[in-house]
Amino acid sequence: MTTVFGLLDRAALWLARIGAGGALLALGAMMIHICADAFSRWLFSAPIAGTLEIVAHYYMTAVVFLPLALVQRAREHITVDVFSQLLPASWVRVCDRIALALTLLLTGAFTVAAFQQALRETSKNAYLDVIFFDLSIWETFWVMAAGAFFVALAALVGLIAELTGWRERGVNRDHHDLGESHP
Amino acid sequence: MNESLTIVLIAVGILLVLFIIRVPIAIALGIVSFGGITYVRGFDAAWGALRTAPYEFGAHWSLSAIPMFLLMGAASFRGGLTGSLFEAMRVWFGRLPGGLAVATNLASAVFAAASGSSVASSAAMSRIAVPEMLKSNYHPSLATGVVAASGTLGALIPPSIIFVIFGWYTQTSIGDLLMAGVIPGLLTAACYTALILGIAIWKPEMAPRDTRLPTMSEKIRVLGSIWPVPVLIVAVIGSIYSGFATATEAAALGAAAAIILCAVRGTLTRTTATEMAMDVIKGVGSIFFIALGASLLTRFLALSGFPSYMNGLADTIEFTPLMVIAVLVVVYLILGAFLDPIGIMLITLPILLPLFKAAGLGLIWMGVIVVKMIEIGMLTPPVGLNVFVVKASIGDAVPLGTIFKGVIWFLAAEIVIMTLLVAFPELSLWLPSLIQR
Repeated sequence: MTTVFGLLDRAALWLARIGAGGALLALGAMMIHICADAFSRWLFSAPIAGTLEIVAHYYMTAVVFLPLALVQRAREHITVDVFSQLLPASWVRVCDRIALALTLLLTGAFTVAAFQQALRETSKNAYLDVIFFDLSIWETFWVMAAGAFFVALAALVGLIAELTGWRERGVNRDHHDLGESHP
Repeated sequence: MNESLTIVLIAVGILLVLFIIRVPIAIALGIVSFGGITYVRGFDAAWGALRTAPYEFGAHWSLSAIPMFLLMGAASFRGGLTGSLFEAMRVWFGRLPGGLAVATNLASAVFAAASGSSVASSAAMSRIAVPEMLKSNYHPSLATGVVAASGTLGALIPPSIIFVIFGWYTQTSIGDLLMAGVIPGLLTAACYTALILGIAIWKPEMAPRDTRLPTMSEKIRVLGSIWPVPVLIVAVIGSIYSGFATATEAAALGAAAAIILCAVRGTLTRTTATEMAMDVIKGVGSIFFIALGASLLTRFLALSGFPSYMNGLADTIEFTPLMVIAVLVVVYLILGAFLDPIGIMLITLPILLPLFKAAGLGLIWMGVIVVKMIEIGMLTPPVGLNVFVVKASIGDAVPLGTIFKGVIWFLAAEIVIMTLLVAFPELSLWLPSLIQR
């Protein structure tokens, strides 16, 4: 069983890293694209067509959905810790298990919903009518679905680790730092 | 009791229970909203919301300012700008009564022009300024209190992530909101400076004078190390003010400028780039996780009929601005005791926005008041997030209770600042009225 868990854990870790890498690439591209658009408008009175739509649908979906798994794995969620500090350690452990189960429930449901939506948008070949061209956007729904799947897998591995005591790679289970995860 | 109000109150109750048992804020919001929509409109409506609301929320142009501002702050901090700023302010203002605390406050105010969040500002400044003040025999409560309090300037002076979220949610011009924060931010910095001078004169033992006497050449030399700051101010505030760029574009320009400045100053190494990337990814992930949950909460509140209920209430009760502000103060002081700023804003706005509209209050002014109240909530016990951040950054050197004691001085100053901001809306509204359109 531990071998299966090990494989699952490794897959979750790499998918979280791939998600974070994808989000970083999108972030860099978004910055360059927006700056280029602003300067092009200023210097040549010619903004880059479709910038707003490409930023919103392509870069932002990657930046919003792809890093979630890394945050889930690192337990860098923002939580309210003030009350749990008053509880005995055994209760806190129960609370953590409930939290992980609810996380898996929601992210799992979100994954199914996101895949359904991606299939639906793909089947109708969803696009946006930008002034000079049609911008295909069905692909971006798959970015959301991938992000949802990565985070649900991270939640599953986290819950299994919590219930069995097996360790996740690179995850400090005592890490509940209030400060550093915040913006 | 009205049915929609009952449903919302029950939902808020369940939400609080989930927060208490440490369910992540994002997950609690999602679960409660999904359950609420199922109760109000059935499972199909809830499933439909889960399929569409997150994408509709995420695929948004104006929200792109958030990762850009995070990148700008991370590049400025990891690129060593914070240390240079503190050193420059120390050299220039260190000889004043309470000079190191004044320098910390002013360095935070200037760093706020590069950083979009108060927690990031507090964390950055506490590692540099607190040890220096403790070494100079400053009272630990003053040394830590000033860092926690002046960190709140990060959210007021542009760039500001929390103003972006407010603008996105309320469909208010983010450029106007960012400009509206400038004068309240500077006013806060000025009041804090006056307070520190007062404390240092009244109780000199709390803030011994700096005996180092910098020469004029030293003063000019340190100015050379903070030249990136005006560049960042021009990139963000200047580009919005002149009409060259929208707020979202200004955020991208600011991020690009911060990275280029790092490279020019020779601080963009492989290590700093990796740290910067991790800061941004974790920051983006934790903010957007909550925001995705909040997107479902918004859908739930709309379907529950709560906005109509608030509008109906406005017909029977005449809301005055002061009544609304009194409600704001109570709500934010209570929530600020245990919630983080983004969470507070995203949970309360769906409920408070109908109230603002019913009372006919301008959203730019309300934005400033809301952000200011949220930032005050970050200083009040038992949580006071900024206080925790300072504590986390400095370790065991100063107990938590001592930091809270130091913050009380600044909370007293906040009463004066808030009174001025409420009494004179022009303090917030004048600069936005000057933007070139």
